[in-house]
Amino acid sequence: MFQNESTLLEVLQEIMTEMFFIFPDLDDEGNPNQCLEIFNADYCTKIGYGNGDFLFFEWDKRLLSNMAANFLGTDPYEIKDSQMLSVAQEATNVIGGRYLVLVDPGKSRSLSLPQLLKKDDIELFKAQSPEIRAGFISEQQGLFVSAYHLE
Amino acid sequence: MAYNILIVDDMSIMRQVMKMTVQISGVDLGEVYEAGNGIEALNQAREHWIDLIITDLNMPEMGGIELIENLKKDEVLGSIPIIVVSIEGRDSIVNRALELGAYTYITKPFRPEVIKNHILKALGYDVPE
Repeated sequence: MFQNESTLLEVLQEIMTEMFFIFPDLDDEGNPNQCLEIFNADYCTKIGYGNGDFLFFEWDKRLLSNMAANFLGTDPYEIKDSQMLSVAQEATNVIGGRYLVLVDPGKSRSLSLPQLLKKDDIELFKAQSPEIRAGFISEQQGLFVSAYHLE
Repeated sequence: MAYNILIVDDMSIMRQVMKMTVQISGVDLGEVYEAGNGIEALNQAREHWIDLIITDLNMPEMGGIELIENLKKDEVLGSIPIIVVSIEGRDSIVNRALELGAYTYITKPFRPEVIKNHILKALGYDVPE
């Protein structure tokens, strides 16, 4: 199987902590918490890596705001929507790229450009079942990434 | 001598981060120009004197490889040092950029200190290893 859930989770944690200095909430056993009782994504992005395979990202606006603020060395309340969207696309690019390196060591696949999704595109993904799904929760703010194979 | 630097990335937040890194790098900085793709970068490079280009590879309209090809073909712009910024693992594309004449490359995620050292070296500053 091409997809690998534990690899995707590791990549999420690596990029979020090393690039954006955002650290995961931990559960009672000290493992990263991957569940939120309620989650409504504010923005969604996707990136393709050939053969109809995509990573679909669901972002919490507050998390993006903190990521952008850490990245730019400023306060979250100074972050504009355009900066949140830019950081969502950049993080999609870096997470997608890192994941692809690990699941495709032969480098037979290539990465597309990251895209911000509109409602119709989001519904296309929501109508399908993801092959794998990983979450990253920090201060009750979520990012969920699902891998889809679309014909 | 103040150096003019051109930052090429389709993500505005990456251009901001690069700009901040350049500003704190210790380089005697002139102007920092920005471009969102290779076409804009070529226009900026033809319009202004540029001493160093820092470019992403994966961009719409004209990506980093095509930009380097165009710069290196140009008699005047061909000598500008180019630092490539790429996501990890895109070795074949990075190698292609180096073959075409890019000075060096940086992989994302990166630490600002790493970029700073590459910028200083590309501009001829002495950087301790």
